[in-house]
Amino acid sequence: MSTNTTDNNRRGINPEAVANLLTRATQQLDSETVTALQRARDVALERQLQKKPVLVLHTGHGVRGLIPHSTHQWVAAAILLVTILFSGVNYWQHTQEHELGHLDAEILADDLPLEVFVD
Amino acid sequence: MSNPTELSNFLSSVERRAYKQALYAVRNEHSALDIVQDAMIKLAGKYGDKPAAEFPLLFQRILQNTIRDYHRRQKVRNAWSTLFSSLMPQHETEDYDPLENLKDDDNQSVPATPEASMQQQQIIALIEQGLTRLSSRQREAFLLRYWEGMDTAETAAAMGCTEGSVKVHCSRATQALAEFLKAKGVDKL
Repeated sequence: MSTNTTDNNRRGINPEAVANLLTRATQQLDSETVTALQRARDVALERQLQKKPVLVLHTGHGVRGLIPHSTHQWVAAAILLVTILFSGVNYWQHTQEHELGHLDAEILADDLPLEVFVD
Repeated sequence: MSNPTELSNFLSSVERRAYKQALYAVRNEHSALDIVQDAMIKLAGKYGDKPAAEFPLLFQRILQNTIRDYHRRQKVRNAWSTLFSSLMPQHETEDYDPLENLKDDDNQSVPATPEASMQQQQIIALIEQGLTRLSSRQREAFLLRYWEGMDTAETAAAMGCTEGSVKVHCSRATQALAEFLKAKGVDKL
């Protein structure tokens, strides 16, 4: 600090005093310039980059989030899988039975052509 | 992450100094306004989502680069205009009167406010005149360091040079400004 003061005395200029005077000069800008600066600021603010929220379904874990980690999760996954399989088989059996029943009903009603009995 | 209010506050706090910086560099009011507007738009458009604390350094980098771009464009334009004017007959340029376009630097200060003394106005005008006479790097370093209040490291980052260069530029700028003011009768400041 003392070195700076000595330098300033030697040079006859204090940069801080210069800065203060320059700041004073900015307060005396004409109204046209001030208005133009305000307009420039408004234009800039209209173009401000804002990160918009993106609608993405994100678990935070990626693909690894789908893999069970604990025993409970493995059991739950197995039960879910068995249920899906059982439901699928059950549905398939029900459809088959329904088709056969429908065929039987048509045979009994004699609505079918003779070719069906040939097979 | 900054919001529009923070950016607005920052720009309103810095816009007048930025305009003056550009004016000292390019010496043309319209060009200075264009430069400040460009710098503001670049800051808002590219870095508007940055934290508000980063705005000062980013803005100064953008402003100084925009001023440098202006000088580059002017250099190219001047080269072309010199080439064309040398090809043109002399009588076509005789209508140009330099006195009509000459800027009176000694009287460019705005009308004095009641509280400001005439002497202070004259000193301000002399300082501004002295700043325009510095080299661009010296002026840049001086204004960033002492007017914008940046430390040496920040000034170096804004100018894209080393801290040692900043110190040298600042020292030479202060000395040159002091000598200019002394020659104009201002011994101490």
